[in-house]
Amino acid sequence: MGCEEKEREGEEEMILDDEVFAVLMAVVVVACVFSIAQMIPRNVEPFVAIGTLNEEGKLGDYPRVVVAGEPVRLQVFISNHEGKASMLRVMAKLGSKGNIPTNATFLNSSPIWDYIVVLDHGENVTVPVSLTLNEEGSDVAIVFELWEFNTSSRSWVYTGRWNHLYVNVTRQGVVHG
Amino acid sequence: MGLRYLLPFLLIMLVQPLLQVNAQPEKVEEAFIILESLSREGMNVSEPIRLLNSALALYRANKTEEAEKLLKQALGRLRELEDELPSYKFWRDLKLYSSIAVMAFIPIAFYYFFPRVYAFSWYKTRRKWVVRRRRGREKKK
Repeated sequence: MGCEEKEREGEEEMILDDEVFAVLMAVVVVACVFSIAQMIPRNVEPFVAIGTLNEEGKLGDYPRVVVAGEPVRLQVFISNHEGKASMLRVMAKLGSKGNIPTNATFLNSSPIWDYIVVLDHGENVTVPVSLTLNEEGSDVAIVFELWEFNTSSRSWVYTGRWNHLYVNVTRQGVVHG
Repeated sequence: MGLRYLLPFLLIMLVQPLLQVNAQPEKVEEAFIILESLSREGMNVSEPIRLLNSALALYRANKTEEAEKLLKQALGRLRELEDELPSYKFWRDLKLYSSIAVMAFIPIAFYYFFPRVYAFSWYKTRRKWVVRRRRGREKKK
């Protein structure tokens, strides 16, 4: 009888505490579920981006006055996060105050500069641009539109992304305010 | 009379930007269509992208012959990758599903093995211990 009691006592005294084991088990289950969730491929929000930088490749300090016939030097930043490789095209066009693209419509004028590049997912490129504006005018909009090649329709589609920069184009030696 | 000429002229002016947008070497399109489908599947397409960008740079510089050579090279590489696609997809899926299976098995394995491994190591670290009857227990008896 005494021996049986001792055996029961021995059973109760566990090497690994039940509660400690339950906590460890919970940690392992949560870690594994989290890891599996990370492993399953998900569709990320696809997007492309365009940015206009100054001659030095920095944001801000853009030229405000441009001399007609002389080159304006800028840089264009293009980035692809579509989840696949994309063929992107940047077109520089000239607009005016109130005549710039929107998210849905592009500027209906001929491009003065055109650049096509293929970017892998997560890749970006900064392209130097040199534009020469020949006609004088105030508040001339230098517009950079981003287009993407659509493989289903085999045509270029406007992404709705654009940048614009207003400049005053003057004759040599004449500077408007 | 004036309107008869003005209308087509205006139409051409309107359509011209769109025509320019579609103007580009057909082979570049062909290469990119293959490249995009491969990249969508997660294949490494950095080499064909580099070749295609070099070809585009040569087209910009009006070096058409050299550009076409590179384009041909890119197309060749893309076709090779296209042939490898079924086997790539098979191994990619196998790797993914087996990793998930291994991850899902870890809690079960932990539940089964951990107490045993712990007990084993517990005994092993105490194997030189000498067991002595405690006096208090003896009294209880």
